[in-house]
Amino acid sequence: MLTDTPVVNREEPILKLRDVKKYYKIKRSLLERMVSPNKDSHVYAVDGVSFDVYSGETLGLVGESGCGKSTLGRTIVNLHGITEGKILFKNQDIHQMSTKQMDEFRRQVQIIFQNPYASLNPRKTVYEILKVAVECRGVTDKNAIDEEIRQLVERVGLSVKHLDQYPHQFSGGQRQRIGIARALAMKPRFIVADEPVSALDVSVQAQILNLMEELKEELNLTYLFIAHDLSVVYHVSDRVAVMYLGQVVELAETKELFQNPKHPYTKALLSSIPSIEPSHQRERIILEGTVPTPMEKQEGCVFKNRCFMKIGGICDKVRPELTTVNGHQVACHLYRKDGVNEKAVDRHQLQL
Amino acid sequence: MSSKFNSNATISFPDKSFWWQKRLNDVKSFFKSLREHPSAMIGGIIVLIFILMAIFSPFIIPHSSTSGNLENRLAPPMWMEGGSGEHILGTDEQGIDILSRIIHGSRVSIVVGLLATVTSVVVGTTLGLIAGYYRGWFDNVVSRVADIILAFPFLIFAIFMMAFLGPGFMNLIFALTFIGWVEFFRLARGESLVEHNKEYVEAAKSLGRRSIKIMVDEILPNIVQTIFVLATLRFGYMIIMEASLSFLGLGIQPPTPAWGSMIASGRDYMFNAWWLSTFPGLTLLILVLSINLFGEGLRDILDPKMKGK
Repeated sequence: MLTDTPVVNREEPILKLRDVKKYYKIKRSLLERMVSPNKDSHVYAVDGVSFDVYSGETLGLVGESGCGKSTLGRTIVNLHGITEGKILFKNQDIHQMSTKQMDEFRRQVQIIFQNPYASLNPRKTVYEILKVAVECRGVTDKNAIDEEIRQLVERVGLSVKHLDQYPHQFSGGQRQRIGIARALAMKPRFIVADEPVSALDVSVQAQILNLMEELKEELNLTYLFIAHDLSVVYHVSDRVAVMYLGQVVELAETKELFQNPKHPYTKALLSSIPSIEPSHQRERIILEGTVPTPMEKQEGCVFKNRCFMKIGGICDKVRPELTTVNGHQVACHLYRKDGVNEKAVDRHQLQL
Repeated sequence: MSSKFNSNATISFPDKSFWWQKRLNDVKSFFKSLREHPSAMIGGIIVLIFILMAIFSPFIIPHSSTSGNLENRLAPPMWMEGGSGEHILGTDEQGIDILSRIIHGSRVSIVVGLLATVTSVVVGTTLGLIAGYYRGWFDNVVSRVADIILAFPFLIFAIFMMAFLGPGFMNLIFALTFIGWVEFFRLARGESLVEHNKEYVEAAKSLGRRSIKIMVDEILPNIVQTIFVLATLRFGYMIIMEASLSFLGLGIQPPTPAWGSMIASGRDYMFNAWWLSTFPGLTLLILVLSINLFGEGLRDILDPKMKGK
């Protein structure tokens, strides 16, 4: 864990998300539109997410598949536009940047992809892939490009003899190293890592995670680390945000979140981590039902129909705000500021 | 720093300055795999012979292909009664040597077929790439136009176009391209849609590459082989289209020898001089069959989706 790394600057968020929403309009046929012209349906992939990422930290973003975490990652690097809200990078709205500012933003914010088999162009050699990246940063001198490519491949643990090879000649871990080298070629400050190790073997996962941590310390990077593997997130993150159905339901320091989860969903999620120590066996919380379809706008709390700590009508009607409780940011009516529901919390904790 | 690196630059990047050697190896391995497809090999050789024939036709035709001796009209092929070694495949109704006309006629077929295919590929692929990349209204408009063109049978539409434009070489190319681009558009659009959703395109975007660069440098190399295979197969089809139009008198006009018009003019003599139509027809059959055999072999070799099957 990197919780005690001194480089984290809690004063100055490098990235701020303010009520970011990303809805995908579902395409309908001409006939459907003629029959019911006003019934546009959407996929509510990201529905009102706000958080800050501080310079030098690793923010883990967890959630089950389909909760919108990858979509959120892609909106942050501006691969998609957003429907509503604001994304501020160094206090600049990324959707109001000029082309020149956008180029600079692209240079500073990079992404590492989940699938190392799809993220490298199969028709390009490693040299060509990295050359494009270095050139995109504005380096034009041929010798400088070559020198930089050599440093890059060596930095990520490959050698110059790999440069002539095509992506299909590499293993998954090596490909991911190439993907990392490509991101590093831009000399970024901030990297969105979209499940960078979930497609890899466990032993290779560790290598890639170690590489990423080394690079982080060396180059003073900031990561937004998207994953569904809780143990991976626990090991790399300084803080963790938990997403459910397009919303952040809880955000806290890693240790604090794992030891003392507040949101019922986080509790259920953490109870699913298997433990080999019998004394540490937690009671598993089995959630009932399935995640509701993201095609319906949820009224009230997004977790209400699966929640085992539901307190009543307020959960169905009012969407809980993300509020700070004992250092946690949590979106749940159990933790309302007025303290009305303290008893309800106690009651539920007794039951557990 | 840089000087030290320069000295061993060639060692660090061994193959970079010899990229053509790699291409040469590609070509070598291509021929190697071609040997495993004998039908494609034979097809390819025959197509090559036809192309050489078209290029050197003025030097290899035994007689004039445009003027003949009327006294010696409708002479049968050499192996039939009354035939002579002078005119191996006989003469037509104007006494012109048929073999010479066939050899010279290969020019029209191959040039028209090749040009129409190339222009179709260029137009179709460009539009398809753009439509698949940007989607939106451009894609909608071009796709609908393509649907409309596809709704007509190819030949009927070509006849309509030629009747509208009038016969002539450029008009012929234009008419064939006007219909021919649709297939390439649909293929390129589909492939480009698939590639566009892959993460390497997103990676290029996040590097800040411009859209045109992404289309040409990232997506195109991944779809060019599929397009090349289709182009080979369409090449044969274009030749048939040209022959059909010339047969109907809408394509290449006499006296320029073209296989289609030769078949057409031989129809009247079908019962007493069958060789007038038969030989150009057979030649057309052999060429198009060879092209298709070659194209199908090429598809097996090049198309990664077919690989290993």
